[in-house]
Amino acid sequence: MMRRGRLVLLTMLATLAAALMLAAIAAVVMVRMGWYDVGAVKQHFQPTFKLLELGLRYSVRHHAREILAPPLTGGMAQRGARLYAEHCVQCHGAPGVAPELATLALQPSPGPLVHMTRRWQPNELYWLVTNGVKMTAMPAWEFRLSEQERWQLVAFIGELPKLSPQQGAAMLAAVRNTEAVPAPPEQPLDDRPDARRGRVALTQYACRSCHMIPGLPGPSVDVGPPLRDLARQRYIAGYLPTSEENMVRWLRHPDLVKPGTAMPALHVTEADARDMAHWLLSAQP
Amino acid sequence: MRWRVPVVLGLAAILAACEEDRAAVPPAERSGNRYVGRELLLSYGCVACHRIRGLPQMAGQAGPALERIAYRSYIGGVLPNTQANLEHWIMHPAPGSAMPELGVSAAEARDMAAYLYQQVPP
Repeated sequence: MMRRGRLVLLTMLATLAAALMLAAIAAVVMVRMGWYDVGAVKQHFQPTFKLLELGLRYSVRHHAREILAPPLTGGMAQRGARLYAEHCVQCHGAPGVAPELATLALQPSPGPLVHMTRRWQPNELYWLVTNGVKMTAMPAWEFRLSEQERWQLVAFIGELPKLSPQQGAAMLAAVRNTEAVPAPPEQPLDDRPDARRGRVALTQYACRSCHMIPGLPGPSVDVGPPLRDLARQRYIAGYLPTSEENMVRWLRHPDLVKPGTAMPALHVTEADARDMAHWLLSAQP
Repeated sequence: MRWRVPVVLGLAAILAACEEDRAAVPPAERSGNRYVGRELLLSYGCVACHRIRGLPQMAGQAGPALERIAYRSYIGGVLPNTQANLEHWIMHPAPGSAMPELGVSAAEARDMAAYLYQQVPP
């Protein structure tokens, strides 16, 4: 009996060792051959997103546990708005304000901050602002902003969910001189929209950082409605009868279709909008 | 054999600890009678256009699913998500929206909001 138990144990260990060895060899080959795609167009797998998200959550909780938040006042939030307009809105946007064009295609996408106070406590937000996040484009602000200024930012982030899109846009316009963004050049239109290209375009305009989209991996987010079964939905955004043509209109000029919408104009080109609309309405799983 | 139960329980505990974001409108900021709200949502025919948890689902979908409304950042994509704004939207949807004015009273809107907010998200 004893010897059989040892045999089983040895077999298990040997199998484990062999499996580990194989995995290590596979990993080395994968890396050395350059098969891993480091490009930011190729998205992570959904489990990777989930793991990164959870890892971030637990890491920040742990590291921020001893930070004590001061009382956050309206005055602090007001000064925070100025800092936000200066340093944050470029990547994160604001209610009714799109991020700058170049930051839309970052991976991971910076995403909106309107729901951050539902995920983090003030001390955790302070830690995030202070330390930044590795392997993302989130910089550490410890050496750029004073402690007081970082708390002011945290105070303002707490106000974001209370702002309507118009209020958000007005508030930021007041503290920042917005210059018109030159529209990207229009590409020539192909005869037929390309659904596969549309799927990629949805990631490159950061649609997934506000909307859950079945078939497109990304973070869990509830800022905009999930884009599920759109073809079966009778209206787009509650305003336009569903058709690819109307979807193009909505994607390119949300505010003209639905005044006051939280969906910002993202300078989507006609060709990209056509491809996206085609994927959403006829190719999405 | 004996180790299996604690291991499975341990894994389940780790998974259960995977927390979700808090609701946009937390329970402390909600009011109204959700039982009355349920009946009202049925009698005003909300389910003809919207998917709502715990209510029968119709075939057509003119409006968005409302199952996660307590977690959404905006009402109708326009107003910040607060109970007051949801009630306002139920009574007076934005002009131009496909959602009709149904003549819902303020008290009714409060109860309907109460039901909508307490849905357990999928």
